[in-house]
Amino acid sequence: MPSERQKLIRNFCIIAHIDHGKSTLADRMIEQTGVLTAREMQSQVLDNMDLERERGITIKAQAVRMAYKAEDGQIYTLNLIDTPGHVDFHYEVSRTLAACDGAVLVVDAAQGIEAQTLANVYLALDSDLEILPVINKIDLPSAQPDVVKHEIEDVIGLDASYAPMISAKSNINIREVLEKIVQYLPCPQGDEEKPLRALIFDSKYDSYKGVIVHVNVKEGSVKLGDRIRMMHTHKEFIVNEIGYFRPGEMQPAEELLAGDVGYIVSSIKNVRDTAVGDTVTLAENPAQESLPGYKPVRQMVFCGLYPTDGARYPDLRDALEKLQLNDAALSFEAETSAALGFGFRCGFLGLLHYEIVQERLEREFQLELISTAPSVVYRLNKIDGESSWLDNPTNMPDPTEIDSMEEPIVNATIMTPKDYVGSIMELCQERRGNYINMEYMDVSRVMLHYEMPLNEIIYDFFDALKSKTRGYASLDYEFKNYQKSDLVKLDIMLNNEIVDALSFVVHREKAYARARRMAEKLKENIPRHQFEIPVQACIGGKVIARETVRAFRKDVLAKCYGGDITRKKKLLEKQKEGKKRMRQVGNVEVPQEAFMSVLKLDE
Amino acid sequence: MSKYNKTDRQPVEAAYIHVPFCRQKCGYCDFISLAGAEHLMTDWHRALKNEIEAAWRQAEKESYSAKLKTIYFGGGTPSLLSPKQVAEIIDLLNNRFGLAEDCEITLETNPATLGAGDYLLMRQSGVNRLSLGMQAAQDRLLKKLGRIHTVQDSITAIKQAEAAGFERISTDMIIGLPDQTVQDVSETLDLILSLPVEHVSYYSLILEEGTPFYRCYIDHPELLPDEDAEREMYHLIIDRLNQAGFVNYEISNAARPGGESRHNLVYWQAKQYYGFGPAAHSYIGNVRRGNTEDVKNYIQAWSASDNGYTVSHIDEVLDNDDMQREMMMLGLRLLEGVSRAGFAERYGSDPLDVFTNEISVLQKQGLIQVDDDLIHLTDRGLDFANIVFREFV
Repeated sequence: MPSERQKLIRNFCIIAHIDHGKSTLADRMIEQTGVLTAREMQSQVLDNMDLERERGITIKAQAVRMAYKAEDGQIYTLNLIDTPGHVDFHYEVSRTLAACDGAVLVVDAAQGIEAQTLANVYLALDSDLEILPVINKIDLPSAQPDVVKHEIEDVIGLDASYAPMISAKSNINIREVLEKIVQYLPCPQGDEEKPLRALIFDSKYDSYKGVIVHVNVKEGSVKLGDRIRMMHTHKEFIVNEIGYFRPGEMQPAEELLAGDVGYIVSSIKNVRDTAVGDTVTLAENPAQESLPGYKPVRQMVFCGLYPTDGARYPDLRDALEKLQLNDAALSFEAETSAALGFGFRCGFLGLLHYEIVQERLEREFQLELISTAPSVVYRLNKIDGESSWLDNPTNMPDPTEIDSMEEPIVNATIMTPKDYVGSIMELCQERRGNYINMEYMDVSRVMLHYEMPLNEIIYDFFDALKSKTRGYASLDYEFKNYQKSDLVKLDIMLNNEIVDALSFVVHREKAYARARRMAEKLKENIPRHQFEIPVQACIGGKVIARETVRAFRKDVLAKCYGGDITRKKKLLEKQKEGKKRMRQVGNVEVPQEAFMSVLKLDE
Repeated sequence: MSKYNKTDRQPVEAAYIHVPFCRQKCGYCDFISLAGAEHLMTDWHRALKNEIEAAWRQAEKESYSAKLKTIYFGGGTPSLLSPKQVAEIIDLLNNRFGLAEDCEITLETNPATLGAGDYLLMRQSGVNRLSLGMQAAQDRLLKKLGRIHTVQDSITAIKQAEAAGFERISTDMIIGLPDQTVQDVSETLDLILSLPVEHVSYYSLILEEGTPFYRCYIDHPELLPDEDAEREMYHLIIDRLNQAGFVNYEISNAARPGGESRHNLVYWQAKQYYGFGPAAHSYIGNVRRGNTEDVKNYIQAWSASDNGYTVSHIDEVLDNDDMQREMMMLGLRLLEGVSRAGFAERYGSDPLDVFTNEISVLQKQGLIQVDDDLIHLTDRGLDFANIVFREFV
């Protein structure tokens, strides 16, 4: 039974597809509950990383506490917990949902339900959340709120009859959303007297305070000065600050009780000690069991990152260390490539995570990077009976030593207007997908289920899917298992020397096409030298594709007179700079574009 | 301002004058020049004289003024000037700086711009060398280039110039043109060698950004002769000229012995020079300075005031290391190369010691060669000279 205090609390999240208006709705709710003055209000308060605001997605979960005076005259505490909005962060999403009792499902009145939304709705239903559907963007000319309502009822099986029809952007009917949250979403009801069990749904590194742990107290209570214990990492800390989230700031308090959402600061140096999904308990009076659902993070995608300017290697290390303070899912270790010099082997949750990290390194730390092709982690079974994980193609042993290899398979869900089913099936087929089934969501939209090798997805599958469906299809995937597969390592040789950074693992049947395409791309991107350069792709020493970069015949400025000297010098200097940034492979100078060009072979 | 090194200032003995006017712009040219702006010529002329006066006062004040050994009217199309305008400038330079006994005075001319009488007047004004923009001996190619002259104009111009007493005539030709064949180049040489010409410049077409040629051909290299054909043209020119008694003394220039462009040698020997007129550059002391490229701005700045330097800008201030590198980069354009003794005389050390690594890398690639006193390009280096120059920038 909830206590009187708990009856006035609602812990909820907003589920929405990218661009369906989650952040705008959150902004409006914050505005209407008066926690921020208009001056303090910065658009989309929850997404406070630049990159998040630009991409319109949430990378890390955020939380905010609002006070809402409802029509019944009571003042309610509304804790909005933002969910990360992408498939790479599946597990993080599931933990955020576990910290909520209800969810607001925002659906775009013009676009309807998307694969990602649905995936998150199912996750929410799995977590026993009550769901309040909200139909947004009703003021768009192309809005079809009734069609979308039916879709919500047909596809998800939710009663959409009471769904508020709103426009977050135009500030229409926001109060109704707040009112329905109070009416329809349940309150928390954990027992305050039981031993503490608080769920960690996020953690952030602050350079003054150390790690700030975001928690939902499920049972018991925690106060300043308590000795807490992380039930999975077994680390113990003393609480030296505790409190609630207000938009853009933290409000210290004395204690957090069952049902509260807030933060704990206790001089924790490393976010790894506060794994998302772990349970916080008290060292003095520990809970018997941790909360269910904890999984250690698992990197699915790996690549080598190298500074284009070798001298910035220490800067890259510092930058990765800083990012890791806030991102426990990022892993890295030093590696050396003959072609690229010193760099790091980095592990990511998925392709988006990889792109985000790369972009943050470039933007926030002004690093110019060369990335090797992203790779998944393979299972390697050798003839001598030894098994190991392989996350770097360079380390793949000679084929004669390999008994078998396994690759990660995912369950992929693609939601699309039915007109594109043919071309999507073709694409999935081509990417070694295994068709499971197809469901009609309504007369015009279908959901396709495939089992696919992850290595086909990380290799520009998103781009291909978007271009084949003019951007209408959406994708979600989840790790399934490892399966045996006929994989080979493809090496690239320039002027008869292997370029380690360009090696990758590929299914044997796809090796020829990929090899040809790569050789062509490299030919386009390697400048002509004074000598002819053979570009060869080979499997275990056998050449399967070859192109030739012809020798150039001249490199000479015809004219240089008094008025030209400064200008010509600058031109030569620029060319020289360009050459400096190139990588030396044997006696071939390879520009960074050549390394990047093979990441996107279809362009 | 301490970077400016007045003590470095050597006597300046060369003057370049930029004449920024043309009848029409050629499709490949990115030099600063206005077409159809002849009405500005009088104002330009007055401004130019003011600039020369100011430069002279400065030179006197800082004691680097000296008799001029070379004067070069470049453009644009300097032959659009009247002989009187040319004479006035030469007279002014003579009255101020003074001219050396054998001062070389070159005028670039377009073959279609001067009549028989003009050559005589130009010769009387003091001009003693003509650089004639013949470019090719095929009217179809001249048309493509956007030239206003024909092959016959070139022949007539050279004969009239010779009759007027010009003993020093140079011609320009361009290779690597759209639709040009090796045979065309050979025929152009036939014509040049049949005429009283002592100097030939042969330029590979460069697609300069902002020109119509750039827009036309940058994405269509297939419309231009390929590198193999272009190099065949280049080496054909050198072979033919050598056979005829010319010496190729710079990457794109050959002359009969004694017929080298002394003015241009100033640049390649990294010596100092004045630059007068819009977009002209000067190199005095350790400073390279450029005038505004805007002709009207130039005219305005120099019309009344005696300090039009407000519309010029400093390109670069060279330190000792820069100057040494530049001497290598420019000197290696000359086939004779850079003299180690000459370098040591200026900078007090042997280039083999200063640039040990650069020189050894280039020697290994077979691009340069060291023969006792001289460091110079090899035959192969002629085709890949930028690789050499990049070592020194």
